[in-house]
Amino acid sequence: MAAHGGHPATSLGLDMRKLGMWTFIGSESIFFGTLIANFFRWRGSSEGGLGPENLDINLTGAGAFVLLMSSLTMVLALAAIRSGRMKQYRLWIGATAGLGLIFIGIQTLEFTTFALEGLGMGSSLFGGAFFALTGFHGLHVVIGVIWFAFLLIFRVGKDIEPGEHVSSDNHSFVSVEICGLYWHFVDLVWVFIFTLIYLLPAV
Amino acid sequence: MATLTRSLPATRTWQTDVWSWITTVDHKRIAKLYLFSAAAFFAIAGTEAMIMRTQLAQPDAAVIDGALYNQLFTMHGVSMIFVAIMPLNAGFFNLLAPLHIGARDVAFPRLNALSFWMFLFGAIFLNLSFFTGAPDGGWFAYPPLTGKEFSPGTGMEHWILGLAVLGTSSIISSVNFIVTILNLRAPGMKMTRMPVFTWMTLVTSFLILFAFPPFTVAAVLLLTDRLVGTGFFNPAAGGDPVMWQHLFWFMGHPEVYVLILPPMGIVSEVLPTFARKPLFGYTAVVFSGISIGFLGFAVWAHHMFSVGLGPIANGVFTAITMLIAIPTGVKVLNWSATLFRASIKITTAMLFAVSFVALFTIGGLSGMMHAASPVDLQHTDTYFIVAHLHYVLFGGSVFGILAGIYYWWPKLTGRILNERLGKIHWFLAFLGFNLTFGPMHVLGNDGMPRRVYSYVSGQGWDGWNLLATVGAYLTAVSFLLFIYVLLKGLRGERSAGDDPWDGATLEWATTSPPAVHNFDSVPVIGSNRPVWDGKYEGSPVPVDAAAAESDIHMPAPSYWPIIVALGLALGAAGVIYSYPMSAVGFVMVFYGIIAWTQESTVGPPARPSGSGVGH
Repeated sequence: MAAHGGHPATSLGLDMRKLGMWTFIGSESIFFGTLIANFFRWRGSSEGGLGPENLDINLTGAGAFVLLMSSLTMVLALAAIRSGRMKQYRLWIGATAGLGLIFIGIQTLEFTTFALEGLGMGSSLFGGAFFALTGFHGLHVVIGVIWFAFLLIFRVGKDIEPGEHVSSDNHSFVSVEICGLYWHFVDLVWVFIFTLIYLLPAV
Repeated sequence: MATLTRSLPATRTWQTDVWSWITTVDHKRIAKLYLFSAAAFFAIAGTEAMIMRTQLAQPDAAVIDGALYNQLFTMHGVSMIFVAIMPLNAGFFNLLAPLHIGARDVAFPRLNALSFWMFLFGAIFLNLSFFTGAPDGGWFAYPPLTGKEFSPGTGMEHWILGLAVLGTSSIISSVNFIVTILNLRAPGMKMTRMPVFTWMTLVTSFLILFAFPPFTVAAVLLLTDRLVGTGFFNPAAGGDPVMWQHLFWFMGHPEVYVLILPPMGIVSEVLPTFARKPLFGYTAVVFSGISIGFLGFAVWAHHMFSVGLGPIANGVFTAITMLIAIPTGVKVLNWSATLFRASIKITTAMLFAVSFVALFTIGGLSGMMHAASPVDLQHTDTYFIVAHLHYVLFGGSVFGILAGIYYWWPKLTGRILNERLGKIHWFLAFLGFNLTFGPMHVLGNDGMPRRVYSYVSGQGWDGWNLLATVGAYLTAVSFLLFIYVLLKGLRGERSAGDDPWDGATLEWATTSPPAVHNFDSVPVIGSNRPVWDGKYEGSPVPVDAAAAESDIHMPAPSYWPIIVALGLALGAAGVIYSYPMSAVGFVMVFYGIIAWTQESTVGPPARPSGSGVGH
């Protein structure tokens, strides 16, 4: 299907936006990889400021669970739109956005707690690297939630008839799918971040 | 179905003309915007160099003071790399990649416009720093020198945020070209049939895609060091300045291949055309380009030999750096073999291309010298390095780009640049370049340090410095002549014809300048020299019959890219000047992106131009 006016079918048989998203995720992997490396460089430098002992693993563990569940609801949303169950699709996108918001809420609580204790970005190198890494991840979650809201507000997929089995290159379906690719990536990054910051023994 | 009734806008005024440039999403017009803007920044950065050479013409000169000199060499380096040569290359990507693969446009035309406007606003923002004190810590901006304590002004914020905007623009553009080249090839245009230039566009895009994120992170961390009081790179706070050097050069070294690979691609197109035989060892040239790209990620620490990383690190980085000589040598030998026993046609483009091979080889060989870490300890921070990097970036990149401008100007405008004046331009540029940078080898070996605004007489440096300055002025004269040649090349009849140089690749199969939709019919490609096949093998480029029956719809113009780009630039500038400005920028970006997704992207059907592939 010639989604971009005048172009013939694509050379790889892949939707343009999907290939673009994968390419962008490649770049994002290096971005987070660098932030993770920076955290590792400084995770032993917490004298007098934010350090591993301040982290509340129970609270953030709950956040991690919520975020992982949002990947499940994203998969369910995609399966629903694929088989034309439009009501369920909207429900699952809404659930994904809600879980993302809960994660943001937990992170805001965590950051606020640190800030109130005077443990800011400049309090220790550990703190600086911690806020840089988890902050950029949080920003990505916020962008994802805005994207979900956008899918719902602008009724992406309204051209799909209820019960219609759409093909994998349907324009609206791909619009949702690339959002899903992004979201799964953001979740996967959190798996690494959570493991490395919260689960590894302190040095 | 195409009709002949589509009328041009009845009132074509300068306002509608300007508006059409602001809203354009046509890759060829964006190419012109890139080339023109980058040329302007090249002129600014070149003027900075001329002021420095004027100061250095004589010992103990007082044309400018040391503080201004520091700003000039910093801005000269940053500008030439990020807002001159990189966007000049991007201009060629835009002009050629879609034509080379038989596409109608890039994969994401509006993102392409966004990349351009982000580049323009980022570059303007960077240069605005001259009014409040430009960055003066070198293009590599080593902390702690560039920390708040030693660089208290806002120059470094301009550097950090400007480069963040420019880097993001480059990443967006890389995604665009990777998808375009992988996914929009005409039927039969296998990867192994793509022109070398387009291959190098692909490799360069991957380099930018993976090299810039670490740099963005480093820049943000430096910004928090300056504004929020973290101490990542500040040894006084327990931080590690060498970490900055690693992160910076992880971008900085692939960056030099970002600057040189596209001109290598240009030369790989120009040489076979005027040697009138196919490029010798196409596969070897492509694969050596790919291996240079890979190895480029594994050599960054050769910029840090004098830091004291230890003998093992220095040894390993010496060895890998020397490995790069192999694929580079493969390229040089293949270009030479292309010229061997050829019936060479001497044009201005050919003169620049052959000079590229010679000068780049000299620069490559001096690079091999300080690839050896013990030698580098002698050369580092001397004019020998300045000589080396200008032989690869000026004798290499810029000469390659000049070859490209002379070669593709007819395709871009329909007019051939004046060849007689062009050859004079080449002669002056070649002479001026070598007079400027040749003596710097000697100065460096004699121990003259770089980045020093003055020197005392009697060290044997006076004569060589004067010679370098004379050469610089000669180079400047050659570029003034070039401006005249270009202005002349904008006027007169479009008499170049579709294929003035007897080219082999697909861009020569369409009109000069190409219609907005590039090709009337989608070509079907059977070799990597489709146009030569048509002329000499009696097999003209066939067309895709199925695609020929459908209407051609080009993407509609859009003003949202410029609004989003302006919003991003305001958002960055607001960090320095006022947070409300950032807020306005953020709203522009947010609203712009929403509106972007909601507008119709398909324009009216394009009319077949009456020529091009398929006639």
